[in-house]
Amino acid sequence: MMRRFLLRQYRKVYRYDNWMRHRFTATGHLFITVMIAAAVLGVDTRHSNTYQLFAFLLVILIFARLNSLFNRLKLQIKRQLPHYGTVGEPFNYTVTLTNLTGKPYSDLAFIEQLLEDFPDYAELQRFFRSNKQSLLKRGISFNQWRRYLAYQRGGTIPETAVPELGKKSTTIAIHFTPSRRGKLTFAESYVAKPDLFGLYRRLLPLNEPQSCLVLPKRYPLKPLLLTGKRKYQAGGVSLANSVGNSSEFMALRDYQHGDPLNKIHWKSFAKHGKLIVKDYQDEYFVRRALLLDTFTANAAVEQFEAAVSVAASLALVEEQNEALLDLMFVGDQTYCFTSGRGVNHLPHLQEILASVQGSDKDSFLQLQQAVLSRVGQCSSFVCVLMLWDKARQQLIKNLSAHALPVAVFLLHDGSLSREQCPNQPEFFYLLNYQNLAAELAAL
Amino acid sequence: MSNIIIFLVCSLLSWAWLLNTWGEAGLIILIILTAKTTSWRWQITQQQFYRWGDLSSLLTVMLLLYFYFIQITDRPIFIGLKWLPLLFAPVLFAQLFSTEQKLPLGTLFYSFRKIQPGTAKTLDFQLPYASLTLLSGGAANVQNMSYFIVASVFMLGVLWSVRPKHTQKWLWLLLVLVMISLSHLGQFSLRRLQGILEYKSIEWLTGLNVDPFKSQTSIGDVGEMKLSDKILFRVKTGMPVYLLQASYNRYAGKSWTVSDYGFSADNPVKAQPKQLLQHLEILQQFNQREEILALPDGTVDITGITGSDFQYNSLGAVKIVDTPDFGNYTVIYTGKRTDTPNRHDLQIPKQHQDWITQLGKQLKLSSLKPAIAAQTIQSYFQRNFHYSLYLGSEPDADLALRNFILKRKAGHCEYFAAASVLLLRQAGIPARLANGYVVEEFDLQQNLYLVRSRHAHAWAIAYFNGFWQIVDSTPSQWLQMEEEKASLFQPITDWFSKQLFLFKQWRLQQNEEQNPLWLAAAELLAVYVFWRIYSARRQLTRESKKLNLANEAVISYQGLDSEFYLIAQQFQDTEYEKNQNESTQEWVKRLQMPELIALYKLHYQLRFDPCGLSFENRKQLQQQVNSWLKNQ
Repeated sequence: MMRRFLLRQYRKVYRYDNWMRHRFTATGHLFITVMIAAAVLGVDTRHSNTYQLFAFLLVILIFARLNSLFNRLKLQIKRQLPHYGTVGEPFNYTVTLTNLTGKPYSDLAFIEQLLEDFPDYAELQRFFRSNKQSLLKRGISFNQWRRYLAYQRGGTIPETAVPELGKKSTTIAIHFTPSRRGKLTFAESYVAKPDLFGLYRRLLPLNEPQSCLVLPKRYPLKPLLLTGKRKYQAGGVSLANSVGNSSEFMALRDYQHGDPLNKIHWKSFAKHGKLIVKDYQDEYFVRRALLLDTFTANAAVEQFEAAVSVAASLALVEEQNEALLDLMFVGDQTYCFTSGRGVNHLPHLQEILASVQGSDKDSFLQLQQAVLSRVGQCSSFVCVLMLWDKARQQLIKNLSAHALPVAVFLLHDGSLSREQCPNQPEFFYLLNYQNLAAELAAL
Repeated sequence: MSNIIIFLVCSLLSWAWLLNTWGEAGLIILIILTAKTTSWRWQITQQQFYRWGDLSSLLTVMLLLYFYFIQITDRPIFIGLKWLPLLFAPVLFAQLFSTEQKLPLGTLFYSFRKIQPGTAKTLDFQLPYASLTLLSGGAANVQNMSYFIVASVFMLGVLWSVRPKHTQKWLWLLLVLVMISLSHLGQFSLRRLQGILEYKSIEWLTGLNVDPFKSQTSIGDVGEMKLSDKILFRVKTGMPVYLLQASYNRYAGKSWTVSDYGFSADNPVKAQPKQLLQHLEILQQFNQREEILALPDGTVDITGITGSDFQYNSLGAVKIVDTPDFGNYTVIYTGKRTDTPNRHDLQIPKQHQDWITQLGKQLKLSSLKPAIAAQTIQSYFQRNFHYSLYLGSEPDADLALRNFILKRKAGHCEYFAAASVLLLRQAGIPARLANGYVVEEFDLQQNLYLVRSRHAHAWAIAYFNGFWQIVDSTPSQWLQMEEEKASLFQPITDWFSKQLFLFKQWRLQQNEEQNPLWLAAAELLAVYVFWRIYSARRQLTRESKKLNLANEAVISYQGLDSEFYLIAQQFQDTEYEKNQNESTQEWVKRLQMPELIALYKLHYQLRFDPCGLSFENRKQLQQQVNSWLKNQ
């Protein structure tokens, strides 16, 4: 009850703050501040004259507000968005504004807002892991609430000044830096038109909702020199990702006992009167599995993001290799996406990584089963982990027991050292997520 | 001359004109003009800006403390307002002489200092400073239109400079004229509004406070009476005394009023030559601008309060106007008030005539001398009545008083006082109802008497033997009964009250002789802040060097030391400069310099080939880049 009330107050304060920020110009803010100070200092009209300044400023601001009610400006907007952005890197796009009236306008500003979903208390607790804190620290402060909102929004698009808007269309370039991966929705756009005095602004809404995908941050990595044998891939390259016994056709041969029925070539059976089956070309090539541990029980959001970034960077490195890459992680179910030559495009894998979510449920056992079922197909395994518990150690042991090269990237918060990690595989990289760029560069 | 200089100079000149601070304003203007006309600029870091902000805050706090504790002023906030331009001048100078020409917001607001370095929001402080100076001019408190004119002209100047270009000038000017007229009317209305609000609030507050012309008694109230334990004031005197706030001579049922409503600056009580005068000291915190003092009978003079006026009425009430925050005053009194009674002091209301006559006969008051009659009444009540905090159940004041005499024979002090006044009048003795406090709770620790809200008392005063004498017929156990009802938290509230009292007393005792000590402390603080500003710079430089070294040690991307970057540097700030979103390959194509093609390929190999460049190729890259640079 109290929490809901508090969150409601946060929303109100936030909306009011936004309203003030968007509605008043810098001079408007200065006038309001001076007016309030003049009112406070002039409460007793016998002791100072500032009440005269207050009266003057109040009248000006009321007039400015009234003046903003009159508007003739009509606009059309067209936004040119790129398909992808990257976390932490500048995102540039342009917006074309067309003045539908004949009159030129100056001092306009373009305000763009990304979609915001106000969080509920459980969401905030999950984000800040405050339910694991002591009772005193469990409350969510306004700053925390704002921080979450900023994270969830995915970036802040600064207000952009519009050059004088004449009869022709005007294109403005907008730059901002996305702060999270995933889908960014451009919800509301406004053109702010100042009043006669340049104090209060009327916001002209321009609804043109669009979205784009922000890919995880990627770091330059040296290619991993994992020695893995090429493995037989049923069905060839093009269908290596398919399920079942579908295959790349090579020739026809007589049926032999034990051949699966779905390989029988029925047309030849009709023609020759005996069972004839399709034969396939055997394919051998390197196929790597990239395991992403999504269990974020005690991990900070930044730690999970760092893990996704490492996975994305590794996927990028694999692009240069003549190999298939299986990305495996567990969400609501076990996911396995294969990409590589002829199968799928690697950007597709980046898109998947842009949308992968952390999970509070330790589903590592599920992931382990999925991994072990593919041991026969994969040449090597690259695991991005955030924990080094017994279950994870056991999986690495199992993989090593199959004589498969395994590389482990263990993300930690600076509290771990190599000595504290038993059963390390040959390629074991301990990465402090707070200093990820430098640590990956130093590999 | 840019607009902003005009605003700054004009605001400072108007400040100097209104407050007669020509020297200070002249100095600030000189520094501003120096900053604008010279190219002296310093690299001021964010932390150093914060130190300048700290200096301004420190100066403000010191000024307020000085005027709060040492040079005691009623409203130090207005002194602070007067010197705002001087207090914030360091911050303005820091901006004007910095290479940034902008002020990080954290300089003025501490909450912005938590923001990560590099993301700090900045502000151009020049216009806010000019506005601050204009606001400061309001402290002049001139009783004419000068400030309004100055403020309007300044603000209109600012508005003119920021108006959108598409604004129609004639409409702008027309609206400005309307606005000036309206705000002119508005500021007059504000003054009038304050008068009305003050009048209304006083009217509302008089129900809670002492009205020298009307006593609203609790006679006729129902329920139980409970007075607070709050300490109202402290008294230094040798013995318990009655302190009178006001006396009333006209009975009007629930209320008692006065026959003479006038207050004058002349004290009607004068000391006779060779008359023995007594002294007592009162230490009191005042909460309102005007208050009625609780004083002993026959107050001749009040000393120890300056800047306040005293007004007296003929019935013994003394009003203090323009009260200080805290007063420690000495009361010189005779103990005898000798003003002559009037016809109202003998009036008996008709509705009470029956029982008064009957009781008068019973006590044989008419045959007794005044002093004995007064004693008889006093002892009659003390023997036959008892004190009660229960207010009764009769809402009609006349009936409640009748019930008190004839049935209940119990009540609080106002019943006893009212009944005594009426009986005294029946005996032919002029009498009035008096309100005030009984000073009786001695505090051994502080060696003075404490007067609490529950010590408020009502009694009768009778005129015989040539002066007004106290006839308190309330049974003496009333004080004990009130004390028994005291709150459990009284010791805690008393402790806080004592601390506040000691602080106020200490503050009052400060005088200008201690200024040198304070000034020395202030100078030391100022030196400390300056030292922090300069040492912070040195420390920051050291830290940034360390950080750079550390970064260099940790991050070493391959090929960042490529000589090819020297070629890119050559084209900096030209139309051929490499764009951020342009790859080196695309850039070389745009340059149309075939000699660079081989070089950029080597550069690419150095940057992106995991095996890097061979020693020979690297040398080749170095040599070719150097020769290209020489040819340019």
